[in-house]
Amino acid sequence: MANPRVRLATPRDGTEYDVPVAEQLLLDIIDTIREPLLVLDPEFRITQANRAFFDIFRVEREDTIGEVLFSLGDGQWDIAPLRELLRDKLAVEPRLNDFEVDHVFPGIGRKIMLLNARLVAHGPNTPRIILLAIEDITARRITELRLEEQRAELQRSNTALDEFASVASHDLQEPLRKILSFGERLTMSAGPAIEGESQRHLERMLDATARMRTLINDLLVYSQVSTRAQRFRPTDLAKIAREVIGDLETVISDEGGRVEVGELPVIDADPLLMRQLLQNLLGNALKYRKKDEPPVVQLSGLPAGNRYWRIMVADNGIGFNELYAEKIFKMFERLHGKGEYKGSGIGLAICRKIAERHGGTIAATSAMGKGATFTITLPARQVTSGQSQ
Amino acid sequence: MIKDRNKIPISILVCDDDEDDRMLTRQALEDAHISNTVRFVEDGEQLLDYLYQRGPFSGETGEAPRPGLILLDLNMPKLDGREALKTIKEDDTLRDIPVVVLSTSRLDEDIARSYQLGVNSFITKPVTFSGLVEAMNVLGRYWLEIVELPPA
Repeated sequence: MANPRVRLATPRDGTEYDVPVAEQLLLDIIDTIREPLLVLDPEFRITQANRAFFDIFRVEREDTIGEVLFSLGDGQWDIAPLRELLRDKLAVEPRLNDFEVDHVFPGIGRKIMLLNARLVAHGPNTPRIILLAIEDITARRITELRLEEQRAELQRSNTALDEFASVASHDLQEPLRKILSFGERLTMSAGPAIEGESQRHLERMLDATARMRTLINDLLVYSQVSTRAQRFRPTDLAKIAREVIGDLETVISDEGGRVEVGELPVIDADPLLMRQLLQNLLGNALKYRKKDEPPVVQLSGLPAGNRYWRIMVADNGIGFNELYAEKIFKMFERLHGKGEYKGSGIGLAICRKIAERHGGTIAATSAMGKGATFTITLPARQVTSGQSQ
Repeated sequence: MIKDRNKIPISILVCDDDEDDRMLTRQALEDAHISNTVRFVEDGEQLLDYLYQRGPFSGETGEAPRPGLILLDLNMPKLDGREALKTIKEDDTLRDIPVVVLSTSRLDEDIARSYQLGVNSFITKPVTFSGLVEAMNVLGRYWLEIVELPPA
């Protein structure tokens, strides 16, 4: 069997190597490669193997070269999918990439391998040979699996937390309703009979209970933002703004204030959540007004690029120190005493959760005494839109 | 005193498993000056026993006189309000008794389902006592004064 002349030329200086040098170069290249590489003859006998193969699969050169792959290491490599690949698949398709084999070797344990295989012939009269590159992806795969497990675990615990908040606030409402109802009835019937100090105690008790009710309601709303089924549909923010302003009518007129509404878009959103969002933001804008100035709130929208809308709620109220611009969106964060401004400290956390639920963001800018502007950026279209109506 | 068309005072049957709520309803009816007889049962099973005069309500009539109006809670042990409502509205002899659901639920599916089953009104329990008195006031005026109820 005559060996063909193989010449390897480097294009730069045109140097030609004769066969032994070229062969040595090939062997050096193969040896340098970090992936295990095998050359097999048509009977699957190993004719060449590189250092990476010996290192990773912990076999000796003497026990490897000349051995049939499937009987290597007392048959450790007798792997059905590998047999199938080399014997059947390669005969049909001589170039196969990314073939995954997951195998537990008795000696070295589990290995997940990504294989590239080639069935090549260098001439009509030369025997065909098989090239097999084996990438050991065990560590990567295990990391991926672990990451996936952690992601699933995180999702489970988040869902559990939301469910807990929802169930807790639901179940807390029940006794609270009774405390309020009996308390109110007690004030009606016994109020006139109890005096001074005791009457104030009763009042304080009922005030605290009312605050707790706000807290629990808001907590329930907060948890429902993420437990709610996603139902995005084309939502007219102008229409929702009109409804919310209608609800706030008395507050607005009592203060002699006004809400100026600019252009607002129709976007894919959950209408109920958008209503909640505008209600909270407009409610806040009216609540944190200056004592000596009627509240004026501007609500408007602007396209932000092709895919987003920016909705702004700007007021002329007391504003806040911009140091707290991020803090105000956290649960239970308050910048004012409870006596000054009522509220649970959950309202803006709800707004942020609603924005995030829609794949958007919310941020605030302000300065003390200079009013505040809340900017919500929301995608115009949602991928899941139109699935349910 | 509110009477039916034959001017016989009708009685109200309240079905609620929660003792506090039964107390509050009784008090609210009283505060709303509804002086009709109010009777209480504690779950759907008792409600049906009452209406069919069986079990603890069998025997001498008069112990369980047919109510002119039922106030029904939804979430109850044993037989819940939905099931009881279904049975009442499917029974030719009971269907004409007005049933008003008085529940803490404000879930769309509970409201829709109740009306599908033939409930006459659905009221979410007010969170304040004055709200409850107000609801009883309106309820009393509507069901016991304005509308004509079927003869007992």
